[in-house]
Amino acid sequence: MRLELKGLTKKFGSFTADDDIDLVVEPGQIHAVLGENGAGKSTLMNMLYGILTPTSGEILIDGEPVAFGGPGDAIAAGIGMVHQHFKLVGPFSVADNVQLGREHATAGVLSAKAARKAVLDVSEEYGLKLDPDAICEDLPVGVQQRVEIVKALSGPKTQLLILDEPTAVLTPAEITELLQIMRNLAAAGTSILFISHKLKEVQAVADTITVIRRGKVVAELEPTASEAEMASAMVGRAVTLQVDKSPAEPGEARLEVQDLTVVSDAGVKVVDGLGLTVRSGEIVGLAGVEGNGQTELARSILGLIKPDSGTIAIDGKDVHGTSPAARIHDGLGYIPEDRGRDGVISEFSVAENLVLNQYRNAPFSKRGAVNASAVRKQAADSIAEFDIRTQSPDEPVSSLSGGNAQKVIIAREFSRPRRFLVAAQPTRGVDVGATEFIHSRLVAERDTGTGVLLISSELDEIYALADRIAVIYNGRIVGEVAPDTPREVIGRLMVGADIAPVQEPAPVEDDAGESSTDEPSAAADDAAANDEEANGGDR
Amino acid sequence: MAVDTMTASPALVDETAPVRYAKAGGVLAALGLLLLVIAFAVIDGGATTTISFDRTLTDVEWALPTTACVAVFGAITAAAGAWMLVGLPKRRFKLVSGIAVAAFVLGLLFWAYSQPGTVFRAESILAGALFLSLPYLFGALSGVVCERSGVINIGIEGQFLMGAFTGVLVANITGNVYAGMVGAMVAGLLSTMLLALLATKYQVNQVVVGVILNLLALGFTSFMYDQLKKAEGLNSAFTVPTLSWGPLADIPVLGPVLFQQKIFVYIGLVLVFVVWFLLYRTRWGLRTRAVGEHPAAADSMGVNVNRLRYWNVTLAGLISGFGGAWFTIANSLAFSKNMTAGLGFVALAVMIVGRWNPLGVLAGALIFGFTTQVARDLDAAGGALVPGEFLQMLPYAVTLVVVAGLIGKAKAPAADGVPYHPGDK
Amino acid sequence: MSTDTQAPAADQPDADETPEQKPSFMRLFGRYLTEANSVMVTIYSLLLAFFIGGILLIVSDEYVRSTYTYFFARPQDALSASWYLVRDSYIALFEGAILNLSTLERYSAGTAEFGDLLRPLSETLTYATPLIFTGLAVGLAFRAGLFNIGAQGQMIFGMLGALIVGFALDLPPVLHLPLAVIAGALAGAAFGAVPGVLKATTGAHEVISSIMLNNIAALFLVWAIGTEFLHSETKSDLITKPVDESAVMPKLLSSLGESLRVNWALIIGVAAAVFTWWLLSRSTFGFRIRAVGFNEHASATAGMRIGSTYTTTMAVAGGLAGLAGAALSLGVGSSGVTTNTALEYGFDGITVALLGRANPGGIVAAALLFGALKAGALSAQPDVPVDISTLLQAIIVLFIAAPALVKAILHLRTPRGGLVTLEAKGW
Repeated sequence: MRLELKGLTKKFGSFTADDDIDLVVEPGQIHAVLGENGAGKSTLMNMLYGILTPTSGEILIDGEPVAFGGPGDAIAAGIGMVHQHFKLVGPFSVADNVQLGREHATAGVLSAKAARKAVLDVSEEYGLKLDPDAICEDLPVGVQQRVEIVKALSGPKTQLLILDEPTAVLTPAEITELLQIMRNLAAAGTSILFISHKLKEVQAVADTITVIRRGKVVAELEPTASEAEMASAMVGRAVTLQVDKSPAEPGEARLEVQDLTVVSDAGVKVVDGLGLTVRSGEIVGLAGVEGNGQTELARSILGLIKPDSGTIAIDGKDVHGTSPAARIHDGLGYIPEDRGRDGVISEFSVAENLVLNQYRNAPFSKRGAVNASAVRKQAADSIAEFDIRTQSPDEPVSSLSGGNAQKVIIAREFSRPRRFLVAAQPTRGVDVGATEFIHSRLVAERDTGTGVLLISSELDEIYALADRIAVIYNGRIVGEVAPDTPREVIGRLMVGADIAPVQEPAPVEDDAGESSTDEPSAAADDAAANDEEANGGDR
Repeated sequence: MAVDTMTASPALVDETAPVRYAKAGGVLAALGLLLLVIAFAVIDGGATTTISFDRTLTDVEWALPTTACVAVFGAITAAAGAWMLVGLPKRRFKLVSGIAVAAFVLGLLFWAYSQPGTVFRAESILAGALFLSLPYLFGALSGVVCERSGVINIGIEGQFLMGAFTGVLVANITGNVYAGMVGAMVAGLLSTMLLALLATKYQVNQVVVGVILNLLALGFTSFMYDQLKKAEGLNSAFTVPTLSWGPLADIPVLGPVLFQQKIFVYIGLVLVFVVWFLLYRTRWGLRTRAVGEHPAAADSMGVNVNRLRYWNVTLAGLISGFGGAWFTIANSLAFSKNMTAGLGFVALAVMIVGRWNPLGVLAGALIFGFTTQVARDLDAAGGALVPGEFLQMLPYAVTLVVVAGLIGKAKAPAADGVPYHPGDK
Repeated sequence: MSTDTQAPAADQPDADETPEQKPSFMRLFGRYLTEANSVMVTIYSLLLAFFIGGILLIVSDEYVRSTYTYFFARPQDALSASWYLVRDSYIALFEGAILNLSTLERYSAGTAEFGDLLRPLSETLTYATPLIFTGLAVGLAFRAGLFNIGAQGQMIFGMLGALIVGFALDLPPVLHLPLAVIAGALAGAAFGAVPGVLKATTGAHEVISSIMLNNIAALFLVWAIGTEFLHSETKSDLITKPVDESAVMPKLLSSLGESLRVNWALIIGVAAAVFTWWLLSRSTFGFRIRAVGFNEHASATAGMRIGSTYTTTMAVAGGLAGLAGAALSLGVGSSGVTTNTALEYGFDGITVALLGRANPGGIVAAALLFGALKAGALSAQPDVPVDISTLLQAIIVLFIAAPALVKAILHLRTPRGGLVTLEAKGW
């Protein structure tokens, strides 16, 4: 299929998300669309898939203009899409998820047999192994994505596959596998539109690269283009991924986690005997694929989760049984990973959000009442110091951009005495400028002697900031390494390839462990030293 | 649930390994011990509990020693609780807890019916329990259809009122009780259509609107009731005949319970299986469940989420409207103000007990129907241990306990009550 | 509640197209009138409700319906019958609630006292008084994201609490009345806290649990009135003992006429509204209530205790509803409480809170409006069905809760900032 976009534009009110986009995907080609968060990539794909209607411009398939009233039309036209946020119904089986919308039914009654066979047919044809009866929410993320791909390929005549940020939640090994699948599909004649902001992957797999910035096409590049070239096209100016910082001077322990275990409601040990120490004046980066216990660890440190066993000491004090409010009061700073859910109250004003965890303390509280003038002064100070772009302190936070909302959180956490800081995904969904600002503030924070635990799923961020890197896998710290440890080593740790076999049956599907053994073992680090042996024992 | 938030590696759960259930076990053990204490300390040693088969075998009466029976039931409950405390295989948990609860309830029943003058008329009470379970059944089934589609229908109470009122009105106007039933269904449909419209097209908060629609139905039916009272013969009671299935009706226990009932009972039972089949075995059901769990997924596969929700909620009104007709037509009553007395809300609790599954709903409705029937029977017999008002509180109190005990554990459809805007992630 | 502003739909291009000149006042005013802002939505909701109410009056009236059978032969019959029916019904409501025109004539002729003229207003205020309390009870909880449908039950317990202190203790008036009022508030608070505790500890939805508690409270009241402790010693029907004279709410306007029932509870009600306003918008506790109501996750992350916020808010809300009960058993019901004394003030509190958009000031205004409706409907029966007040209330708040519906029916424009809607949480 040949897909052509001509002058495609999408406006939301006065905001133009996509502006006059031209793009051609040739049959059997992998065409990468590269752009930052918020550059307009997802809007573009949603138009292609019929979820949004373009304001102007047209979409041509094999030269014919098409208009999609909904995803059903796009599917019928031969377009399949793998969404960034998986569109799988959790409690459904794989077969049911694949057949949803185009059910195998006679007179409305489903045929489980036909649905199962259809999945097996597609998975055989493309070599994507799947159990049609497995329940999707029980599957590892990588396998879920395979379900999504099979779903997209199961359309009546899918010839174009859109992959929207498909690698965001995958392990390095799963990414390698996905890129191979993409190559195979393209070789078989399927056109692929690959949306990403990760330069390395784009470079590895794309035939052509279109870079968009602020809704406009700013460059057409060959995959031979250098990373620096792509990055500057993407962000519009040369960026320094490296943060200037002096060597750390670690002092006394500010966070000591020992043998921490958290069991989820479903009875799964999400944090499993975890031990970790963060000292004053250092940033410890916690690397790992999301969903390996980082969230639960952070929430246990704050006290939102009661651990099932183990101890947490903050600033040398066992915090067992104390409330989050007490921990915050005693100098725990906390930047939550999900800003909109946990970080700010979007209906509250900027000023109110800035005192959200201090409203009961002096000077913000006076005899049971909120001291409005103190709150206002605090807001004015923070807005100036942290360069929060808002029309007024009384504007609701919902009117702020993601970066500025994040600055509100940072300002709040940095405006009171603190001894230890948990920063979870501190720059997620934040533009480059704000990222630089936040990174430098974190380093400055470290230099004042605060201990910082940086939880990030972006290895780049970990490398840029961390003085020491701990890798979390399956609720355990599987390695603590120096910040100059090569990516491959950390990547292997992140998928649990370099650890001794666990007692219980390892739940992760075989694919993760297997393919990672193909990677070169380049490190002379002590974590890599027992590499061979551990792999041998693993499976 | 949206899959993207789940943990990467769920551990496998061994179904046969013993698991300790401290809370449930402790509660059951305590309840069992309580029964034992009651058996030996409270109940008079010579007391008997009489069970009769009042419809078929009128000459049979069993007089059982109360103390011994209650003690046995107490022992069973306590033993089950103890087993849970020690640890039992996970797959046995449901069965054991079911037996324990049933034994506890039976123990209480034997105690309650040990008062002189009270007789447990097994056939009447069980048949009555099935009949009284119907409003819960219809209401909860309507709720299941709505909530499986992702719309909270808190307005069942209002749909009951509309159905009850319209059923009688149409029956009076046409002189045909079956036309009245159809009228009730249409009234229910019109009520839910408003909810559907507000929930899908206007994306209004469903709980708020549901409560308002209840008030609207209450105001409307009370207003119309007063107005129509002025005219004669618009609110007279109508009756549906009891169907008797010939010789089948004479089978002890089964006959009176299953083969000597009004058409409402049969429609209710058939409906349970129809809704179950539609939900789990058809294209419509697959799409409906998808829309209730993860509307964006359904949307991305070309399912029109809001249209499906709109029609499902609208059609669910047929069921709750018919449930309304139960209050008037099935009970051979004229309409009176607020006659549904909050049972629409109890039906929601039944839906939760039944875990949004029609078969579970049937079980839940039967439990509530049984409770209601026993309370009524004891109240009527007089010699009850507690005042009648407290017996009447029973269904509400049970609902409270059930909702408090279950809601965290029973998983509602993930998108239940969340309006869907196309383009959402 | 969380009053939530729905963002205007993205594809709404109806932003100003004309270049920004200085628009005249009239144009601005006209623009305001055709915009779905909360003031206009309120006004249009009222108008639409009275319009729909009129239609229902017409179709449900036997005589008027009969004139429609020959509509095409003599349409003027049907039209005039409809007009007079609706006009007379609404005039009857007005006369029962605000000013009785025939009393006015008699007053001008010198045959009626000034107090007689005030009687409808006094009735309106009397019915509005409990509504202020129950409206606040629902509205306050709404701000914490809790939908408190349990005001009816909380009020019943408040009524019993005040009643018991009111007749069982023997105290001087300065102590007795306040003590009885406090007892009512405490009883309501205790009962109100139950759904809060259940939600905090088990996650049980407050709507279901408070409905169940309403039913339990209603049955409990029937039982309690019949007990020897509470039941009247002189009367045989279901009525309680009267409260002591020292615990009766003094009437406000008794100097102008004994029939003016409005009493001190109204003053307490207004004070409660001021207190609630302060609590919500000025106090640290209100800060927490609003934070939890908007986003419990962020509130928990900021160290607020969600469960205790739910419990305390529900207890305060229950206390407010309990005050409604105290106002009844020490006021209009001071000669003995029956199953009828509480009417449906608790349920009406829901509509009051919704119409008042969970703001204390709005709640007082809404309580006055619905109090007037109730006074009017009660005085106009049986000519006008008494439930017209319930019906009109429900229609009004339906539109208030669904501003998009008003906007669609009347083709209004989306205001800047979107439509204001009310939110409560699902399971």
